Amino acid sequence: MLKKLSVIVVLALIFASCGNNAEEQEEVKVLTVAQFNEQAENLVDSVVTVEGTVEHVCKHGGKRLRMFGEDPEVILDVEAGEEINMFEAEIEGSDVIIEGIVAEFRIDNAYLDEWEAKEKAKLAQDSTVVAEGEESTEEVAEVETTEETEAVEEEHEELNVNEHHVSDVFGQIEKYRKQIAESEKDYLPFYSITCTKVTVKEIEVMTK
Amino acid sequence: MKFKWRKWNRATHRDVGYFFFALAVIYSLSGIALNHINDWNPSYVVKTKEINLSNKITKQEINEQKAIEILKLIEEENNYKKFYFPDDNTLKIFLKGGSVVIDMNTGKGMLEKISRRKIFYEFNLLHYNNAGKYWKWISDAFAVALMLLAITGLFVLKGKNGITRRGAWLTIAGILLPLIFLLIYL
Repeated sequence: MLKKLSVIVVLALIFASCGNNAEEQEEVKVLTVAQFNEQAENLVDSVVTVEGTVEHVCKHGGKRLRMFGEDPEVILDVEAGEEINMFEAEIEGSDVIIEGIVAEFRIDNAYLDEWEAKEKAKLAQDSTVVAEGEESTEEVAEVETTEETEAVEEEHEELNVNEHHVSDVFGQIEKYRKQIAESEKDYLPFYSITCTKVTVKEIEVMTK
Repeated sequence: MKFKWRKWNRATHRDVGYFFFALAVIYSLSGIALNHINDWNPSYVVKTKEINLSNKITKQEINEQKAIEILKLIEEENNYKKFYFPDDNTLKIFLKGGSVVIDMNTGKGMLEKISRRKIFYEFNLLHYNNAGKYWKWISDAFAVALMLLAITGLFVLKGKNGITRRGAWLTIAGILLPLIFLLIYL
């Protein structure tokens, strides 16, 4: 009887110690946003836990959020993984702990060539639409001069907005090209987290 | 005894239809909402309002207390969450359900309030498969049920309105519609 009891006690102790080990293993180091950005290169595809403040949640689909740590200029982009699907817009401004898998997105010259070609095609298409609008205005100009002019002006305004957008985009592409040329690698790495779990830390709302 | 397949077909169509009525409404309504995601925000109502503090503020004078004082001016003091400076000239105060962004040089800013869009928020939550890990199995079952409803629906009626006559033409038209778009855009 005593033998049986001692075997049970020993087994119980072994299980207990195993349990403790598992608990110890479960303790994960929580990184700050700055620490994450420093180590991201070596963390690709691994599971990480990062703490920060949610700066912005994409309100249309809730698929992405941007967070910062102590320094608001150091940011981290987080995408909702399958387990999350979407982030609630209400978590903007909340301190959160994000758990997820580190993803790397590389921008190289081939990617930039493709991007630039797409933007040029888009610009050409927009110009054609306005040119067609101008031609049709000439045809009916004698009858509805004012209305047609306004319509074309609106289209021009739209095109101007697009041109601003396009010049911004081309500027950005050029900036990336320079950064690639200056870097040791032939690409620019961007790191993000595909989130599997998000924990919102409670915030005491002050009333006074 | 002869198996009365048409009777079973009708019963299946009827009962599956009754059972999945709610899901059909939920998925179709949120489907329309999500189809137009570029034109509106299907889950949230976002309201913005210009504010003017009528005096400039400095980064140094801002602390939690001061941020709450600013919120008092727009009656949002009870919603204070946190503040930070996106850049040297801008103060952003997060609220419960929104934020305030203030240009510290001018004291002008924008209050943004967000609230959940009634019914659509809940429906979209389900459509986005964000209602727990078991919901996806329910939505899978619904997808299977839709196929079942479509197939059984073909054979509910006999005669001139059945699948061999009027039904055939409408079914063919319904098949051609996606095919035409695929031919154009594929």
